[in-house]
Amino acid sequence: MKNSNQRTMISQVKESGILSPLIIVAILLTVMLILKPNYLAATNVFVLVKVLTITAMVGFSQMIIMAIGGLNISVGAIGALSAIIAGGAMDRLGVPAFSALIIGILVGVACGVVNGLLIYRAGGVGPAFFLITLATASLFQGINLTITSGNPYYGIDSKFMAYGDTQLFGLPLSFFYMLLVGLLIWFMFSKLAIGRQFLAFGANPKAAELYGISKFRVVLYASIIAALVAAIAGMIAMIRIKTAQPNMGSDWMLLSFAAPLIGGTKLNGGKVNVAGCLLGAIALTIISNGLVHLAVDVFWNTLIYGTVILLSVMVDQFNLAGMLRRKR
Amino acid sequence: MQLAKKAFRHELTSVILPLVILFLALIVSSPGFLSAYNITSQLQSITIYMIIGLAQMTALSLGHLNLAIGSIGSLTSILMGYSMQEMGVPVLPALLIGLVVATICGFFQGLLITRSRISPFIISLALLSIYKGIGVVISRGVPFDGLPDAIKLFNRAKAGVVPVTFFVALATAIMVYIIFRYSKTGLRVEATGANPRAALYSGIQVKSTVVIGHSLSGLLCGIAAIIQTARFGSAQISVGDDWMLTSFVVAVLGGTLLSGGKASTVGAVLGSVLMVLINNALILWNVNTYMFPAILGIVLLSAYEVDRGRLNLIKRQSELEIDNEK
Repeated sequence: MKNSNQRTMISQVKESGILSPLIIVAILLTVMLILKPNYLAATNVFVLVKVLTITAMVGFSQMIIMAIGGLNISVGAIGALSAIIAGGAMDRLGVPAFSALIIGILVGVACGVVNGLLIYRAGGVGPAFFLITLATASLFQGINLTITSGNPYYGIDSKFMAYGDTQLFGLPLSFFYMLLVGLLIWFMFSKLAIGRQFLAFGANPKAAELYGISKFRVVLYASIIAALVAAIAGMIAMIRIKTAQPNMGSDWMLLSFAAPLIGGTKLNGGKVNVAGCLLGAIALTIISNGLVHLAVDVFWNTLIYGTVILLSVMVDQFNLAGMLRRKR
Repeated sequence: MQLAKKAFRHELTSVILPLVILFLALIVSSPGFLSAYNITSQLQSITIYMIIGLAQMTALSLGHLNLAIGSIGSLTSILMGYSMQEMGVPVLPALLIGLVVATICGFFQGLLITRSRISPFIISLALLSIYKGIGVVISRGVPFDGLPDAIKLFNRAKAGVVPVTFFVALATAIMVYIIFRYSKTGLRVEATGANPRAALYSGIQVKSTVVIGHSLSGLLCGIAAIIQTARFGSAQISVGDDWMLTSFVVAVLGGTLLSGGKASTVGAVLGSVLMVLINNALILWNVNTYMFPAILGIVLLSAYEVDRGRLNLIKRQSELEIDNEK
């Protein structure tokens, strides 16, 4: 990186691997602006940002697990369980807002510990992630339903909403929390030893272990951090819909994979791209919001989401950015 | 002791033992368990679980997953309903259409996995939405409930207490057993799952084997979809809603190796019986239905644990034998 100051900005963008998601976002925005000239009006941006915040957080959570070569089916179940227990504490037990927030986040951490220990016990690589989180997703969801009997909690403390609903520069505060979380994750992966260890382990678990990186630590810490981010996403989602819904995270699984994949993070591990993941989340948000704006029948949503994921991964395979470079 | 250890090493022990214990516990605790009504209704559940368990087992033996199992079932049901109700296709051709659609869904999944370098997990995840999405768009969320009576009759037909659909499931299981035990295709699928590179070097057409395996998995989803549609008495999008998790539980309980390379048809059949008995026990013992997912999660986790215990024992035993020979 010594000669980075000599590079042009464009080549820096290419190096960072965010060119493909950037192009996707630009195309989507252009299309929306042509179809709806006032698409980026302040009110719509406000709506976009609220949805984006949650999608990006969910994507970050998945990206951390993808970095170590794993995947996490239980992102939504963790987010929902944290929100339900925090919401239930406020509604039923009258716990003050701040304590409820701490409780919710601790629940997320506990879920992460359960995931991490079980995944390590099942081998810590490859299919262990899928199998264990498939089971724990069912477990967490079952605990959630047993507590709530499927009914939402409405008695959320208004102070709790203020944590994320207050505005800053005309945008909800939760958006800035999301940016902060993204920044911290970026910092972890690029500057901290543990982040480096995650990536090394993700790239080649056996080599990383021979090099003295503890598999136990990597799997456990990554699971905890990912669950923590999912729990924060659950808190923000609760602030957004002003209730604690038991079925809250049911549509998070697809989004959680889509955002980092569009953003150039590989499922094989060893590589992350925080900015790309954020751009991926922006693309997904524009698509879902655009479908509403263009009055597309809601029945099309599932089909379109699936197609977008497949296409975006295929685009990545053809290496859009690489093709542009070669043409020049 | 020696015998006990030998029995524990056998792969089916981990499913037969809980099966027998649970069966006896149910007989003792719930007089309603052996009633004709309960037996028929449990056999109907086993039918579906067995077939989707086999579908997942086929994908697992390739070393892949089939997350789209439920969506293939959903799309198949919708297309059958559409062709019967909106296009007036007679029952048998409509069922054939369903089977063909399901096979094509699996075929397409296999094709994408082999022709692109995208991870099979992501392809399956995307197809999960795409297949379901097509079904939703066609049906607009409304069930096709004007199906011919023959469909409902198929569900109600019984031989004694045994529903006819159960025989269909058994026939399907026997077909799958023969494929994996006696045909070259089954051997190729298992070899590919165990080690794709070694399979390639020993002259197996790995790519077409993967496509065939996924097509078979799709076909099985189609059979399950037909039976579920008959059970509902209408073709609807909710066919296949809880199949994904269930199919994994059945295959895992049955001892199919999750890393690929081994299919246990008998295990999957017994796994489906165990799964249904667990469900039945929860209902007969008046367990809160909201707790079911949590219990299912714990069952799955304990199945992994048993699997691991057995593998460790086998490993230790073989090490001991090697030491003895020295």
